[in-house]
Amino acid sequence: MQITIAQHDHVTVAGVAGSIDALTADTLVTALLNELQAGRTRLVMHFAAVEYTSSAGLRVLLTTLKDARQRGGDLRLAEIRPNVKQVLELSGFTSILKCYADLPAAIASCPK
Amino acid sequence: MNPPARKVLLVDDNELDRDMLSRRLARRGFEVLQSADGVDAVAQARRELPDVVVLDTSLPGLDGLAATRQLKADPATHNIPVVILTARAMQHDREQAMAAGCDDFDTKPVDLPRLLAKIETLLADRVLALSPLSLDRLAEIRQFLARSLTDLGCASSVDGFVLAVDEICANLVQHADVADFPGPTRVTVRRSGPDAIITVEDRGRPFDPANAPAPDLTSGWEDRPVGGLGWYLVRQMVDDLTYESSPDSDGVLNRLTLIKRNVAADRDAAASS
Repeated sequence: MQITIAQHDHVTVAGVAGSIDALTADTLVTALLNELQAGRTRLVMHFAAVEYTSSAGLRVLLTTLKDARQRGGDLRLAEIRPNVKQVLELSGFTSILKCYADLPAAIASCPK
Repeated sequence: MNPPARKVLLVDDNELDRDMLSRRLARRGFEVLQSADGVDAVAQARRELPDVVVLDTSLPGLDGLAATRQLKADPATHNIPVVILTARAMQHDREQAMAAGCDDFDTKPVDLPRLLAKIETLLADRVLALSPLSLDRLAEIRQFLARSLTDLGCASSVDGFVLAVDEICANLVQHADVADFPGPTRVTVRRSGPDAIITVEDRGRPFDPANAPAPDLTSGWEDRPVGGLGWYLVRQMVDDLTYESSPDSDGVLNRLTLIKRNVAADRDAAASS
């Protein structure tokens, strides 16, 4: 799994490539929580290159979401592949996370 | 739970030959379906979805090669292995059979050990032994599953199975104290008609996923539990799940069996009926 962090105005975009599973989840949550602790609380995760997520990936999303909202920010997802979207839907995550079909829309949705 | 008998559809218009081979296959543990002509054979294959079809070439109505082409052209049956069994033993007969799409070729008079070896090769279980089991082998498990399901031609989508076995192994390693599982963990993939059966076995402390509580997916983000989703996802991704744990000479054998139906085959069979 590879993580790329980039700043787009007031929004931090975390691009993730590869599989999010029990082996890689800790690395990802550490990277995301570092951003939140640094005050960058408006996060968009770019999921276009995420091939697979297990429940370990869902735990990363929920942990990050809770932390971001408790700090007044939010976590949003963009460009999710169908097989990953299926896992998010089955686990009820699409009702608590905002998901966007493209990255610019996800960035534009974040309030300043 | 014993695995179901593997089902072979034996197609030969010579009743004596068919009955004799049928009895010999039944004695080897196969459930044998019989057909005497090509049209009926194709219909039976679509209806019964056998594990393998053994097909003579000279048949009334629809010959064996034409029947093979029909089976291989139909999404509901194209993954079922076909063995052509014929008295025509020339090289060009083999080439014609392979060109029609059969998976293997054998000649009469029947050499049963040779024929069984060919059938077993086509139906062989794929086994991955993991000892010790550790998280860094998850990628290997995923590749094994994807390759095995593709090789066996069963299950229209491997995603559910990959996720399910990944979750199971992650749970074993992370939550069940892998030090208590001294024996090897084995992942076995076998074909059952168009469907796939995956078995995960280990020797150690019983570990019953049936008792895993379902998470509350209706709660808001503040109250949503961070854990407990793994087994829920496993149950959503497979069509059946059974667990048994029993003492044996080497300790306690835990066996978790997952069944994934080939939804595409069902849909296509329904559409063509």
